[in-house]
Amino acid sequence: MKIKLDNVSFSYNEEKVISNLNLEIESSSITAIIGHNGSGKSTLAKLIVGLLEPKKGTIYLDDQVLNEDSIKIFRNKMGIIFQNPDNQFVGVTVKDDIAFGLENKNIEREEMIQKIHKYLKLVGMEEYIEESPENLSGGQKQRVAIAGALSMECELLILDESTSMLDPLGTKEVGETIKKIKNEDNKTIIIITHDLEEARLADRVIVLNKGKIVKDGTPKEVFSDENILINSGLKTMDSVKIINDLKNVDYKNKKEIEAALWELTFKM
Amino acid sequence: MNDIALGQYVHKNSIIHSLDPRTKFICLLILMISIFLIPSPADYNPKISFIILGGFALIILIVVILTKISPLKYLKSLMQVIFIVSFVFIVQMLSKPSDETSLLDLNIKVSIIKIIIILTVFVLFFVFRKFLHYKLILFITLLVLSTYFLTIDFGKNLFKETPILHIYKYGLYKGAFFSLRILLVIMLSTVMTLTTKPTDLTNAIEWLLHPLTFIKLNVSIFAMMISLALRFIPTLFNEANKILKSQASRGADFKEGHLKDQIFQMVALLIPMFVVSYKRAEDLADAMEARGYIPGERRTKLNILRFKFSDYLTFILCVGIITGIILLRVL
Amino acid sequence: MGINFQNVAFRYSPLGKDVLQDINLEVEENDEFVFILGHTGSGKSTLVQNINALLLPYKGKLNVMDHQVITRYRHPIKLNTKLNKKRYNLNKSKHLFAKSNIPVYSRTLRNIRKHIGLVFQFPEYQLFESTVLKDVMFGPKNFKYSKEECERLAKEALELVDFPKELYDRSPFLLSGGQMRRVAIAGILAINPDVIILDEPTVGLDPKGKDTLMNLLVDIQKKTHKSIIIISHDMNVVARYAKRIIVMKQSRIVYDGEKRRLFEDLDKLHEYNLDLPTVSGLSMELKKKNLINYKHLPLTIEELETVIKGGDIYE
Repeated sequence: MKIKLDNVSFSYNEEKVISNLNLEIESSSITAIIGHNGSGKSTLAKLIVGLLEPKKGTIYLDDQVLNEDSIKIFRNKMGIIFQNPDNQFVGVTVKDDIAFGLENKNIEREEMIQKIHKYLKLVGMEEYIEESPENLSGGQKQRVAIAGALSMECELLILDESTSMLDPLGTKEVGETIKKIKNEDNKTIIIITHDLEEARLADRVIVLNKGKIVKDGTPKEVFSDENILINSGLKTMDSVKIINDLKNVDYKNKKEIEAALWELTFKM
Repeated sequence: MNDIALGQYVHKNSIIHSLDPRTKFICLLILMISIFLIPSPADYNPKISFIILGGFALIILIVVILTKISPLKYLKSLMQVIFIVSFVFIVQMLSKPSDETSLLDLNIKVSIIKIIIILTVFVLFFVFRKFLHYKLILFITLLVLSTYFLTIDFGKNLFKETPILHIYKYGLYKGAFFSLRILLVIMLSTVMTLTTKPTDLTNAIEWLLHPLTFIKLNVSIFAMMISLALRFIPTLFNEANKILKSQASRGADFKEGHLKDQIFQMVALLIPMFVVSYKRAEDLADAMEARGYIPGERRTKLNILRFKFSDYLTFILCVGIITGIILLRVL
Repeated sequence: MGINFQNVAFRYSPLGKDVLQDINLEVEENDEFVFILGHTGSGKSTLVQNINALLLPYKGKLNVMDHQVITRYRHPIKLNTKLNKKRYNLNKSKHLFAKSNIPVYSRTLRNIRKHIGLVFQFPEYQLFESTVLKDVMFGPKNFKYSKEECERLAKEALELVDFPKELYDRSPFLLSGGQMRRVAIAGILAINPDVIILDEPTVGLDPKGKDTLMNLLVDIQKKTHKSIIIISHDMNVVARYAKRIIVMKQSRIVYDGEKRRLFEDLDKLHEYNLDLPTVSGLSMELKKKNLINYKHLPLTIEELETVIKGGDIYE
C-alpha cells in the first residue's frame, strides 16, 4: 500500500506532536520510523491507520484521501500491532482472538478456521490454539497479534513498538517473525521503534524528533550519522559507534576492521 | 495464582460437556422451575413430596457422575451456601403450621437480659477470634451453651418472659424440604458452570437474548461486553495484586491502623487501579477499532452452536419432567 | 548486617512446586552493585520479594538487616493436621486480599520494608497522589515520620533522582514516562532504605532514558554507599555497570561472582540461556577473522576500542 502524508499536523490539547509532516512510503517496502519516547512516532502510526484524525493536512492511501468514508474500506487492508501485548488480546483463547478480526470482516466459518490454522502456523503458534492469554508469554501474545493482522490479508502492517515491553527472548521471537513475513509476502511494513537493532530489518529508516523528520535514508546512512541520533535521544549501534570513534585514529587493519564491523552491524 | 479465573470450567470429555450450552442453559431453567413446583410437604402428602425430591436428587446425582468431575468440586460450591441453607432450615423448622401439636418442646424463655448476655459473648468471640485456636469447636460449644442458657428458668422477676418455642413435625419436614431444594438448585447450576466454557456461555446468552432485538436492544454488544469482561478480569486482578505489593513495599498497611488510615491506603490502591484500567480500556478500544470492529454491525461467528440428537433428547426429558410435576399439581 | 540467605526455599502454595530452592546468598549492606540475571520464570522476582518480606520463605533462614524473617509453614506436606493449619493461617492474611498470597503485615515485617526498598517493574503504576511531592511522601508517612521529616526525605529523594524542582507540584500523571519512573523510584528512596532493589528499571525506556537512569543509579550508589540490587535482562547494561552477577536458573542460584568470569565462559552462558553483550559478540567475530587479538574478552565499547588500537584490557 502506498502512503503519502501531505503537510500533516496533529496536536493533543495545545501540545504539537506532529508538525507539518511530509512523507511518502512506497508500496511493498519496509520502513523503520525511529525516535525517542514522545517524539510523535506512535501518533504518526495512529494517524496512518485512521485511529486519529489529522488537525491539518491530508493523508493519502493508494492515492485516495483517508477520511471517515474511505477508512471503512482501508480498515481491512491495514493491521497494527501495539506496544502492550495484553491490551490488544481480545479473545478468551488464541483462536478466538484471531477470529475477532475475521468475524468483523464477515468471513465464513470454514474459511475462518482454515485461516486461523494457516497464520498460526506461520508465526509458529499452532500448538497454542486453545490456550488462554494468561498462559502465554509477552512474545507469544505479540505473535498471535501478528497472526491476527496477517489473517486479515492486510497490505500494510505497522508494528508500533511491539517489542519494547518484551524480554530478550520475546524480542527475538517477534524479530524472527518479522523476517519471515518480509520474505513471504510483498507487504508494506512499517516498524516503529527506538531500538536500532530492530530498524536494521528495514530498507529505509526515518528519524523523527519533536514531530518532524530529521533524517531519512538507508540504515547505513542513518546509523553513521551519530549526531542526529544523539540529538534525537537515540543511540547508534555499538559497532558503528566504534567506527566513528576511531575515525581519526590510525590502527592496524583499519580498512578490514571497518568493513567487518559494517558487515556485522547488519548480520548479528 | 490462576484460581481467580472467572468460571470454574473443568475440561473433561463427557456427554454433559458435549451438550450445546443453550440446551444446558434452558434445561437448567426448566429443572429449576420444576424443583420449585414440587408441592411442599405442608400442604400435600409429605411422603410424595419427598419421593419426588429424592427422584430429582437421583437424576442430579447421575448427571454429576456423567460429568466425570471430582465430587469435591461440587462439595466446594455447596459449602458456600451452607449458612443460607441452615438459616432456611432453622426458620422453617420453628414456623408454626395452622393446627398442629408440637413434636418437641424446647423450654426456651427469652428475656432482654439473656439476649444481651448472649450477644456480648458472641461479639467478644468475634473480636478476639484472631487470637483463638480451634475456632469452629469453640463456636459450636458457645452455641450449645447459649441454647442451654436460654432454657434456664431464672424466675419471673428477671424481666418479661416470652413464649416457649416449639418444634413441630411439619416444621421439620418443611425445613428439610426447603433446604434440600436449595441444595439441588445449587448443584444444578454448578453442573452448568463446571461443564461449560465461558465463551460458550456468552454465546448461549447472546442467542437466548436474541428476541430482545425487537425492542431495539443490541444483544451482540452486550455479549461482547460479557466476553471482554471474562477476558480482562483475571488480568486486572493480577494488576491489582501487583499494585498492592508495590504500595506495601512503600510501607502501606492494608490491614492494621485506624479506619482513616485504611481508607487512605485503599485510595493508594484504587487510584492506580483506575488509571491502569482506563489505560487498558483505551488501548483495547484502539486495537478493536483497528481490527475493524464496529459496534452493532453484523459479524460472522467462529463458534457456531448446533443442536445435536443428544440435545433434543435432553430437551424431551426435561420437558417430560416439568409436565409431570405440573400435572401432579393440577390433579 | 546485610542480607543473608541460608538454604532458603519458597513456594506459593503448601503443596505447590518450589519457586526458590536452596538459596544461599549474602549481600553486604554497603557498596555492592549486584545484578540478578536469569530467564523469565527463573525465580528472580520471587527472590527479591522474599528479601522485602512481601513473600515469606517456608524453609531455611533469612536474615535481613538483623531481622530474622519468619518462615511461613514449616511442614508443608502435612498441612491437613490441625496444628499446621493453624500455623499456616497465622501468617496468611484473613482480610479482603486473602487470596493474593500477601502475608499479614505485622510490625516486624514492615520494619524490614523500611530497610529494603523494592522498586517493581513499571513502577509508574504505583503513583496516585495529586502532586509529585505528596506521592513521594507517601512512603515516609506510612513509616510514621513527622510531617516536616517526610517532606525533607521526599525532597532529598527527588534531588537524588535529579527531578526538576519546578515540577514538584505537578500532578504525576502529567509527566513523561521517564519522569514518572524517576518519581516512582524517588518514592522508594524517600523511605531511606539501606539496600535498594530494582526489578528491570530500564524496561520500556528509550536508549537515552536507559543511560540516564543507569548513570543516576550509579551516582546514587556513589553518594550514599548503599548497596543496589538490579534485576535485568539487558546484557549491554549488565556488562557496563555490574560488579557482581548472580544468575538464577530453575529456582536456584547457579552463578554468583564477578562479571568477566561469567561472560568469558561461553558454555556456561549458553547453559544459563544468556546472551553475550553486543560488544563481546563483535569482538569474537573480529578475532575469528584474525583482525584483533585479546587476552580478556572486551565487554564495553571502550574496551574493544582499546583492543582495536592494539592495547590490552587491565583489570
